[in-house]
Amino acid sequence: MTEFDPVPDSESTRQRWQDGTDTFSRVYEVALGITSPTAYTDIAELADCSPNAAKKHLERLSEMGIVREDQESRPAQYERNDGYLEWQDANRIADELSVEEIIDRVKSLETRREEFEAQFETTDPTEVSVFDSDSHDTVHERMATLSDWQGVIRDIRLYELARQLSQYDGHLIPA
Amino acid sequence: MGLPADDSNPTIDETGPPDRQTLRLLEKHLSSDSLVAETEFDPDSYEPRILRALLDTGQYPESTTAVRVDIRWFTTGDFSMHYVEEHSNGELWECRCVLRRSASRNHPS
Repeated sequence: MTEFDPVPDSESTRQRWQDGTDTFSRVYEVALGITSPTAYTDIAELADCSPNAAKKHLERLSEMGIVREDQESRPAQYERNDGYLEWQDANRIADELSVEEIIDRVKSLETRREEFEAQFETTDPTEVSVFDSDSHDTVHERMATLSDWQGVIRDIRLYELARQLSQYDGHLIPA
Repeated sequence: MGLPADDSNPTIDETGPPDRQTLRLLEKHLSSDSLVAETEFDPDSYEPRILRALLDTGQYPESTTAVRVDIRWFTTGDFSMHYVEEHSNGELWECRCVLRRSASRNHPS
């Protein structure tokens, strides 16, 4: 295929879901991207299913701890449960990396954290403005740098949880 | 995938850490796209900062030697994309876009 076709296939570009993705998988994937309480009717629209189907699957995901549910609001609202997902991430790390590997990664992340702290003269990345008129960086670069810094801090915490899980043989607390 | 805006964050002047869940979801969807040859996390999947999609140059003119899209997605819902085309004459074509939903939702126009 060396010929250039400038017109994208509109059918395939518009298609949000692959054929054969079942309703539960679609609701699950949408829910994983929902970071604030959202009505199940909106989730149904994103997941390309009926509101009733979305609600049924969201209730199930809520029972599993993957999403959080606010039954008080009308219509009921749902969002992903970050606490559960953090545990899942840490659990995967504990499964796949040795304690030594985790310690090594934490050490290099701590070095990077110190570099950020020295560069911005604070230990709190949220104190640093994305829009700094003194900086020659673009907003794009600035956002990336500050996000990397926050990512470093978060990853250190996640590795700490993973190390704890390894230490307690997969449990969050000592048996 | 369009996601609803997050109203819970009162500050406009900050960005969040990478959103691991969303990056992973995007990776899953991109890896099944016919224009995408390969996906990777930078620096790796344990510490995802950037999701990189290497596009299939077979679907570009012959003079295009490499094409990639770098995606950053933050927990605030903001994201940025960086598209880079490398050409056989050494030229680089690139474009960037930044969407700051955390800022726009606090500045309703």
